[in-house]
Amino acid sequence: MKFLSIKFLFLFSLCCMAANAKNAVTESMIASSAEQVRPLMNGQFIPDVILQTDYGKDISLRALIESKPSIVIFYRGGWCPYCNRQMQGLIEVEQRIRDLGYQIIAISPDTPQRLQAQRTSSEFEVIRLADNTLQAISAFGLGYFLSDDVANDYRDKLGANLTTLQGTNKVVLPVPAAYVFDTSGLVQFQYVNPNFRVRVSPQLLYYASQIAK
Amino acid sequence: MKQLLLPIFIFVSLGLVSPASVAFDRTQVVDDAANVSPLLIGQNAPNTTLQTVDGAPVSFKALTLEKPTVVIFYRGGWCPYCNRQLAGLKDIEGQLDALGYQILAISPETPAQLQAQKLQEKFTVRLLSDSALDTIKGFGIAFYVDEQTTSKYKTSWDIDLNQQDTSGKAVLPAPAVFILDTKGKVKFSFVNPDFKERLSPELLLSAAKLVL
Repeated sequence: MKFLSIKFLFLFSLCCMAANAKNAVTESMIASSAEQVRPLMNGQFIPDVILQTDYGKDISLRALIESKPSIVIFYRGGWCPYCNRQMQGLIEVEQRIRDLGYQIIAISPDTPQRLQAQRTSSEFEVIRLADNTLQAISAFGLGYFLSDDVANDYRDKLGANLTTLQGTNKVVLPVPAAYVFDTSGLVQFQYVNPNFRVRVSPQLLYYASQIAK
Repeated sequence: MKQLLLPIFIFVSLGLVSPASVAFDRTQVVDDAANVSPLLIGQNAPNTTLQTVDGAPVSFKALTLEKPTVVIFYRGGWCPYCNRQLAGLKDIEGQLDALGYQILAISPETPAQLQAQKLQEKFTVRLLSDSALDTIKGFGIAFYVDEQTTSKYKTSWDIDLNQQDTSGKAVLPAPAVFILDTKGKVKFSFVNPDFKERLSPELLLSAAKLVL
């Protein structure tokens, strides 16, 4: 039995490696702390990455962005009260942003299953995408390793389910960020703040999307 | 569009090989505008010395202690995009002033060059020289201009990119706008390595109202 499961694990990891070889996220692509991140800048292109919907369906972020001007929010997870407050705050500008033709996309390291649990009846129309393989988070230059102490704290106090980098037990989070993209895939505006307690004001995001169009 | 692809490719490939465990230095001069690592929101502006148009040294920190500050980094008086950006500030400078802000515009040009351009007469923003490049480096936006571009600027437009560091290569800032509070902390930034794209005055004004 033990032999079998090891064999299975080996085969499984081979498959994973084959599937992810092109976009495998390695330790060198993750910053050592939130202050060390090097985020994608204005005027740069949307990375070509595959994410998953809350139903577990693969989706190309680039294709999604090319279909509509987009606000892309990176948040830490459904367990993060600051993130939930930020999403709530977007309700005040959501309709106006949508009237400008935008879609709103929210990406976190949560798994599709965890995204399903985050859907609430009062929620506005936001496309939540799972990046538990950390492809978008690393390609945007937002990923950093959380210290073990803080990770344990989040698990104990907030019941956080945290995502680790494949092949390691190191927890990775994104620095919370908001991006505005045009349909050619160019960043028109970005707000990235390593202090997870401070988020872009919804009004500023609205003005940015108004001007970026 | 296509011109951007190569720098981005280089940026991505560099990202793949650079070890994350080693803290990198935002202040280093990089080989391409697309590779700069600007100061992040919440980080502190560097404690550097600039020069006024008259050549007098002035402490950047002392300046920013006085008032919340909009800092504009521009490439030089020879750069039409920069002049257009500075001219565009005219529409909002009264409102920024009413909000309590001062506007500083920093370029790598010398005080003598700033004087020759007579920009100070055209713009009410305060022009400062960072010919020592310390402030530009300190904000993480310094990059080397390749020799091809330097000579093209010289032959086509008679522009001298003469602000060099010890390597002898010309250095420019990626055009950028930062909003600082009176502690010198970054509250907002807009950096676009594509020098043709600048922050719109309206958005700058909105940011100035919302981020302090």
